[in-house]
Amino acid sequence: MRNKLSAKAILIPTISLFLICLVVTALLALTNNVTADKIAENEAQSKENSMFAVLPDAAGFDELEADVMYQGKDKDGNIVGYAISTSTQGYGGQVKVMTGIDTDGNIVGVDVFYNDDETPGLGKNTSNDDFRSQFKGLSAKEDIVVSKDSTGGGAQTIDAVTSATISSRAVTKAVNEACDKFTEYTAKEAK
Amino acid sequence: MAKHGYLKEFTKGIVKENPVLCLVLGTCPTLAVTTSASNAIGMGVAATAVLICSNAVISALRKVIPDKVRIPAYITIIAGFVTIVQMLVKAFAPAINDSLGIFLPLIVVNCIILGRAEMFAGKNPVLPSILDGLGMGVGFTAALLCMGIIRELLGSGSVFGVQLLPFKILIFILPPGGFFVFGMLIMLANKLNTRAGREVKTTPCDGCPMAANCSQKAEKCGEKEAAEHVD
Amino acid sequence: MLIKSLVAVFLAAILTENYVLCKFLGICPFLGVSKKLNTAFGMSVAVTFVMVLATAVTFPIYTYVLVPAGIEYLQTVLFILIIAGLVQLVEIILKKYIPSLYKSLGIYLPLITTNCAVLGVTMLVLQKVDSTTLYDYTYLHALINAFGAGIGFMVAMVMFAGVRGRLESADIPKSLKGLPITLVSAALTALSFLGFAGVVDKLIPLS
Repeated sequence: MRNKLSAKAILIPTISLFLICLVVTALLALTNNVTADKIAENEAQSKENSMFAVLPDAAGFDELEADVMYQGKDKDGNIVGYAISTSTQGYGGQVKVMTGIDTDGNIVGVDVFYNDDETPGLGKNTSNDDFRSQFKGLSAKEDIVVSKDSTGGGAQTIDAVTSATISSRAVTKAVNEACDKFTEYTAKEAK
Repeated sequence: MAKHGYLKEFTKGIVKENPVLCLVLGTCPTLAVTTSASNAIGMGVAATAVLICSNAVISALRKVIPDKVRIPAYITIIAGFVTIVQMLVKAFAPAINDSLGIFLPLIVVNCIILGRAEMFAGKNPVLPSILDGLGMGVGFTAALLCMGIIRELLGSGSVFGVQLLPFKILIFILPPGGFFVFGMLIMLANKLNTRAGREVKTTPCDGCPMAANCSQKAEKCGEKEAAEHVD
Repeated sequence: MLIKSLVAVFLAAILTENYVLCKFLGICPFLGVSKKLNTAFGMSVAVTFVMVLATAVTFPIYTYVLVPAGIEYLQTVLFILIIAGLVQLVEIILKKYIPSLYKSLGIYLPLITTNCAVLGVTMLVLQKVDSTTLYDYTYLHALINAFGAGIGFMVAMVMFAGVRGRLESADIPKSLKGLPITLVSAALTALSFLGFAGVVDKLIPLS
């Protein structure tokens, strides 16, 4: 076996494999060049759509913290509220939520803009309006709980999507995180 | 090859050698992404695109690629196309990318693609290879769509998002439902095949590129080894 | 906290995120090599070994080479080649230095290159780094996750081999024989894993 392994027998496969890798890499770099802008644009677009959805009064947004917190302003430049993006661990994977809070500290809207790892028909229903609209009008100053976890059933409770408590909790947690970010920010501004 | 021959390369993948139901290849995506009909189509089309491209390139390079590094070369080419498809999907159909998730890059290890490269494209000219890829891709998509429609209809009460049934049996879109529906479909395929007098494949991976040293061999080797130990 | 999160990652990988029964990765060997208990076990050990080794190599390469260089898109090509190379390397090393181990694991190694569970583990763990907010998802977590995934694979394989053992002596309708009945029993096995939903969060509350 050993004497069969001439330099040629080793070199030719190695070189051809190397060439294939090189060509493939070059092609990938090329495709990446073509699509990278479009992909970034898509992501920015979906985020922007989500921001306008949770803060419908805003005409434009200023970035306060990159990728996390945005300040919404109306046409005259008055601050109408904040759109805050948070993510938590759901049942199958990441859940990304955009929360809109007005200047008085009330939640205006919640948008679940990524929950594709959740179970279809269960956890994925957290992006349905029935579930999300429950957050509307709640206060950002106190924690929101899923009704299953609370004993009282106070004002700050929401009902989980049937058989999807984990996903519902994940969304609620993301909203609470956003509220904390809001409180933190307003406290800093007040100083 | 006559015109008739080309047509055969195309149609065999759809019915007689359907990669999913008859050759039992690519089981992972078949089970994982068929929770809805639209997901199934997305996966099917993405895999078909990769299959056609990789079949064409591998067949064109079949005389250049040294036999020794055949498999790594095939894998590199396939992985390249998978990434290209992934980037295109991300750019032009981001919704599909989100719902297919990890299974889009995992097309790389879909046995159908490596299997066709090894069994067909590596031995045949470009045109039949493309037709073979197209046929297999269509067969794969059809089987996926079939699973997707059944699971979505029973599990969510809808097809392509259109509500049709007033009830839903959730278990069908959960993992157990996937196994069950797949089992039932294979049973149906087996029945039809037996009726048509064709040989029925009873184990998966029969058409797998690694079949030579795959499950069967492992199983047999295991048995042999066990027998040796007894001796 | 670190230990707690490691245990949580490990248990989650085995139970709630079981790669075979919950994520549908590595179905081919699950259906193909689960007929006999000893082969199911041997295959699982080999898979676990390669999963940990592959994660050990791909995780730092992704974090310290691909991301800083901005060439994340080479991930799929690079990972599959690394896994293929690693499997070859392990095979050669085992053959030469630990022939006894090679004898028991060697036959399973070539099958693992195209096992999507291995590629899946190395890729999915990278998404977890971004989505885990409660604690830092470190290299150690990634390794534990890979190990857990392997053990989860083993649990599913061994359990299923047991189920299939019972099937051998059962009276099965003719058209269900072979793969269909195997899939139906896989459905029932997967059903039992659904019961684990949320169990890790309850056992090890991290927040």
